[in-house]
Amino acid sequence: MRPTLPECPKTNAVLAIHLDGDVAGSDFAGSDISGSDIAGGDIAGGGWEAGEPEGAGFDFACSETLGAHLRACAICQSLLLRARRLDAALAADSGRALAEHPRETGAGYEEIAQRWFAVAAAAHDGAVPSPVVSSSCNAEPSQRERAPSADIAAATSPALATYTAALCVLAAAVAAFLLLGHWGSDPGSSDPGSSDTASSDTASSDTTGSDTARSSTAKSDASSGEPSAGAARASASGHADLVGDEPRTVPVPASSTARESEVAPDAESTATASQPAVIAVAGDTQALLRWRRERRAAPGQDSART
Amino acid sequence: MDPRVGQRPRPSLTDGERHWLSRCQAGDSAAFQPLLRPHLPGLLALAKRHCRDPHWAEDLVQETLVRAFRGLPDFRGDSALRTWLFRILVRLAAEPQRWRRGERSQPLGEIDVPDHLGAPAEHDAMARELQDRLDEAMERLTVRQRTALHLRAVEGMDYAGISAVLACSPVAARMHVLEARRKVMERVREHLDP
Repeated sequence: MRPTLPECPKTNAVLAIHLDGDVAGSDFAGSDISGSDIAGGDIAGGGWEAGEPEGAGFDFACSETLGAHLRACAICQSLLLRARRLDAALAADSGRALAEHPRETGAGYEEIAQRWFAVAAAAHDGAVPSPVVSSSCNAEPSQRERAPSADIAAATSPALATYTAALCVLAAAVAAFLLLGHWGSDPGSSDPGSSDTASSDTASSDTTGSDTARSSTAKSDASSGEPSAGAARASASGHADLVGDEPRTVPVPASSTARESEVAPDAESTATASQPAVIAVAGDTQALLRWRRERRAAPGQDSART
Repeated sequence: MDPRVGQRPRPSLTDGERHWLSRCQAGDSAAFQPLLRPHLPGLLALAKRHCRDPHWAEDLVQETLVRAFRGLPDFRGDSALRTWLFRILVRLAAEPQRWRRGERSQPLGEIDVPDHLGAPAEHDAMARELQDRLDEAMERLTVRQRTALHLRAVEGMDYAGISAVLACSPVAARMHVLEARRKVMERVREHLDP
């Protein structure tokens, strides 16, 4: 337990007046200026001005009285002396630390200053400065993460996040458009163009000469009264020859109605390379998915087809 | 009545600072360097009071300059430029745990400051020991006390300036300084006695 310093009730006033030169008591003790006039001012806004008493609570201390007390009080003398030495020691300590700084960091003061100004100018111009700093390179990684440019990066991150979100939304919209167009559950409302993707893919793959290309089987549901999408598409596009005239396809008359179409692969198809297959857009999504699974399960067929 | 009482001189800017500031506010970024360069040692010294790690002290000063550059167009000159810069630095330093990762995590109560150093000459050893004890004593102060004492003892700043930096009243600033002095003197009293 460190012994506490001896106390005197007037020590603070003595230090305020005899150590701090700009204290009101030293110059204004005899004046009629009260510090309370100043203390209520706008200090934070720079309301205080040089030469004013500061309203520090010692304005009513009489410098003559305190002087007499100081000459008689050994405690105040000792504390005043220590306080002066302390201030001097702190100033010397700070100066020594500044002098040792280049040796500690390995960079000269001028170099450090130039770097500071360069980074500040870059930040002001809107450029994101490179992560600081050469002198910090030996710091721990967790320390190097915290560069002052982090604020600048943080300032630009909202814009980055906005762009990223917009791109995600756009990508999601495109994906939804493609998927809905590809797996449209309503044959009547499905986009022929997007549905043709599978059809043309099949046709082109069939032209490679694979005899294991998938074929489409469309089951007509007479009760639904809706035409098969594939048949309707084929007939509408003038490719009626693609429908019903090939052995691997189940002919779907254009006049027939089908509410639900089932697309099934036919590995034993005898279609030739010149016989493009017709794929009917599935009204049954589950069937289409099942067919896709089976197709993936038989990669040899796909590779042979391609 | 003292003739100075009625006077209210503007303390804030020197002629040189006003010149460079006007150029800076007019968009001349080259004026930023001569405007702030005289204050860099003081900023670095205060930063080193807040950050034991010299690299972090550099980063703190650099961030202060970035903020100052950004805020210069709005600087009206109501306060001294040095006070304004110190205030930026103190506010940055007060951000929780941002600038203090380089500090020792060991509790101060467990730190054993060596009583003697061997190799250097005696006076160097004593100076080094005083420096260590001063650093340790300053570490034990609150941030406001430490800042106030540093600004008062090292920078020679008046209490109005300290209060502006700390955003408190001059009375509070003086109390911070007095309390900080008392605490530090208790810890290094043997080095301060005649």
